[in-house]
Amino acid sequence: MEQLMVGICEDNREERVRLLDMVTEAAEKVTVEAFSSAEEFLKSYYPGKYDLIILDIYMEGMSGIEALETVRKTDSRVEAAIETTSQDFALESYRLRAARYLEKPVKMEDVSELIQSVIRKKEAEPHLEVESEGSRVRIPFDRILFVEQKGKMLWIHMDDEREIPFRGRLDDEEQKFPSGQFLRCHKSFLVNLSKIRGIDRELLTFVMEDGQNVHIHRQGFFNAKRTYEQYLYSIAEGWKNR
Amino acid sequence: MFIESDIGVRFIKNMLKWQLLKTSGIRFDNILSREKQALLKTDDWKEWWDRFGGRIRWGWFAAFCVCCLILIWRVIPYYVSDSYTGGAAPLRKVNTAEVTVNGSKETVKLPAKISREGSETALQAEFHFTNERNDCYVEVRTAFAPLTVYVNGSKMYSFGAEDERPSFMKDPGTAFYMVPVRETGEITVVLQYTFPKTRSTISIPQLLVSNQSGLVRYHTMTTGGVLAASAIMFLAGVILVFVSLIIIRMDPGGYIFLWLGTFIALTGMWGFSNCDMALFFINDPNLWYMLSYISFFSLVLPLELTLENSVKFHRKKPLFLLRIFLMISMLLCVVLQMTGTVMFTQSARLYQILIPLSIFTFTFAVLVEAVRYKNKTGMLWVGPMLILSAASVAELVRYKDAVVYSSSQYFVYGVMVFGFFMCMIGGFQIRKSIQLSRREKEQEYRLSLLNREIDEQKKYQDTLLEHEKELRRQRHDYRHQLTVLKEFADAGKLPEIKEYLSQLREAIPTGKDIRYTENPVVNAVVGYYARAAGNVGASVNINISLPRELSRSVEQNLCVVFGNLLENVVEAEERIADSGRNVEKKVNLSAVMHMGHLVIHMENSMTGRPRKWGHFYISSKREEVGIGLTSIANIATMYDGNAEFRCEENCFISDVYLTV
Repeated sequence: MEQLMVGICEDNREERVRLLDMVTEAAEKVTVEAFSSAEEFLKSYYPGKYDLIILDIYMEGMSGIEALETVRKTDSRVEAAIETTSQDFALESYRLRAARYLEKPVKMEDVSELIQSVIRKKEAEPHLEVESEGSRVRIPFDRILFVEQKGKMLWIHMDDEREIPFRGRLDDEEQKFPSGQFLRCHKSFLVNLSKIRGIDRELLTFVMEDGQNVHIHRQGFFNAKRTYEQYLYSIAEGWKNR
Repeated sequence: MFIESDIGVRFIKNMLKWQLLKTSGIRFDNILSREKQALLKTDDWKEWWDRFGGRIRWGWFAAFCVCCLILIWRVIPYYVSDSYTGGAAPLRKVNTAEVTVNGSKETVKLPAKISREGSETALQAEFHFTNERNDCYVEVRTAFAPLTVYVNGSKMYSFGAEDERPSFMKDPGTAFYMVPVRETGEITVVLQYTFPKTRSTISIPQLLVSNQSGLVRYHTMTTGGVLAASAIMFLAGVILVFVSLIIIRMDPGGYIFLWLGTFIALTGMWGFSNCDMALFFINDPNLWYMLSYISFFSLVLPLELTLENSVKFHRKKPLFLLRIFLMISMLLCVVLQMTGTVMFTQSARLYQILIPLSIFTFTFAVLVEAVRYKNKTGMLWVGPMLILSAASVAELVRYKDAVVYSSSQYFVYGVMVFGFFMCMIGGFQIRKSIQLSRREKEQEYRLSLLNREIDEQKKYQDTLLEHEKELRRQRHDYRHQLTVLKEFADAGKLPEIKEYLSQLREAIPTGKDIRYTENPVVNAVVGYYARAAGNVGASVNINISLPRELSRSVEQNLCVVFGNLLENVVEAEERIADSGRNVEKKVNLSAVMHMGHLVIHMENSMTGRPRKWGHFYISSKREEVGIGLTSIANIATMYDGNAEFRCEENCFISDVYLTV
């Protein structure tokens, strides 16, 4: 089990310390960082830094909801929990995919349940294991942007700008990727549909989350576009039914 | 559809870009990345081959070409050899005849027009030829003149007697007849024409000698084309009229097609009834006489109406007056013919001038409209009208030169080309007009949504005011409650304090309004329709995740999208309720943001199925192009997205995505 990274953002000092203690207690391998304001939290934040962030809703300056909004612009993966006293922000937290509410005052069992669920989710995360440069690497599918064939090597482009090379042919390796999420859009490209930001019709490419272009085979353009659209629709269809 | 053609354009553009880069000497690598180069370098010919359907479609195409070649190869001998099909014999024309008028006999070269000089009533033409066949037939033809035929002295055929035609016809119609010749050797054929009452000339054609199939073959070769073209035009015109009736229900622009169809059908009828060969189908010269002239006289009327409906003339009066005049004169001609006063053949003299003149007037009017007022539709009309004018001039010249006038081919072919052009222009106009009316409706709808939004905002403000009152009351209560608690505390009554606190907790006011989304404007519209759907008895399940702040135009367009989607739902649920069918009424709408796209998925129960007309969806309750789904699709495309609607069993599914 890897180290669990947790970030806490809470302006009330006592509450912050309490929360820090509870999180540390809830899991064995956990690293916690605590901040007293959203601004401070965002200053040190980068996508992929944490597995879980806990935010207070009402703080001096920027609110927890606003902070989460900023986080979500670059990181759609991190789990988030919101401390609150009421259910008034249900819609916002739905939109920002906050895992759950922590009702104030925060209770130990709620925190430990939250931590456990994050750990479970992290462990159960579908992933790929490959031999790269002499070591085994565990790559969660959700973090892959696309896979590219270059000569005899396959390059996995990750959402944190890492590129992981390993030996193989895309035709063979393609089956290892979940077919609903990945699309073979070109002879040498396999793309993660959930990481596509849009389609560039001039260049015939998928524009990825981080702005990279992934080529689409010209004849397959309509099919690729359609598959992408169907994937989009399925997101809306599956939302709330998850 | 659009995208497909887009790709083609882009393909060509890329090619051009490539050529340009190559020739301009700019180094490739600087401009295009290696991948893009690889894309451009892919085998272009193979691209092209695949784009047009690959092996299978090309295979079909090749098979079709082979079939065509075989067909042509088989048909050629029919035109080259003289005795190919059905035992058709070669045709012989007897070019001279001894014509006796008023007792004086002279040899005349045929075909010829013989005029009446005095008061004589009859004319006799004598033909001589040698017959070697035992299945010989000669063909005789007469236009408006009663005719009796003698072969070697015995009477074989007579046409045009008074009792053979209705009383209002002074002269008979045009007829031809194949007279059998049983004897062989020297044959004398005598044709006895009686001068018509309404004309002073008789046309004597050449005498055609062959067997029956030879004669039929001759007619097919000379006028078969016009006959077929006319028949096709007649049918096409009639079909167009029926189609236009459907179009008119959706758009008044359909009247162009109604009148165009009538014009084409009338021309087809004229062409058909003017052909000698029409008599093969119905051997009634009187019928074809009537049909031919009536269609001829009336065909400019629908032409004028098409013109008037299509081109919005700045000066309507002259054409209107011309139409009235044409209408009255046509009615007059029919009345005069029916009373037996003036035959159509006589009034036709007027019309031979009137019809080309009208067509020239129309052309002139269109030209004026196009040149002086820069009328776009007028410009479109110029070409076809010039074609029509040319065709009518050609026909007129042909008529003047022809001794025997057996078909109106130039005009028929001219109208064919004209009709083809006009159908395209008409289609163009209707498309435009439908798009225009849709845009108008969209605008209206947007306005109505705006009003609804204002209403909702007023309601929202009312509730805010209500809240403030409530808050003031609570502040007052607060003091009171603290006093009570203090009293309890002073008296040390702990259970009472607990009891009172739990009571207070329950009294904390909760929000009553359902909030569907954070964005207040969209929420107002969604809320309105959700209530309406709920009132019909549908179970409503709506989840929309939208940011609170959106630009004004996005907000409005989203209102149109959600408004339209949900309005359709409310209508669909109402229809279910009305039909009384046992279908569960439900609607599930979810919309989620993903990578800057708003993705909407909606499922609602429905009965029946949506109808489509080309790109447009047809509204289920009104007989017209519905704006709902089409405008959703429009907005989606406008925001770099797409929309898809489909129908499963009792369930209508809408999928939309757009970049917000």
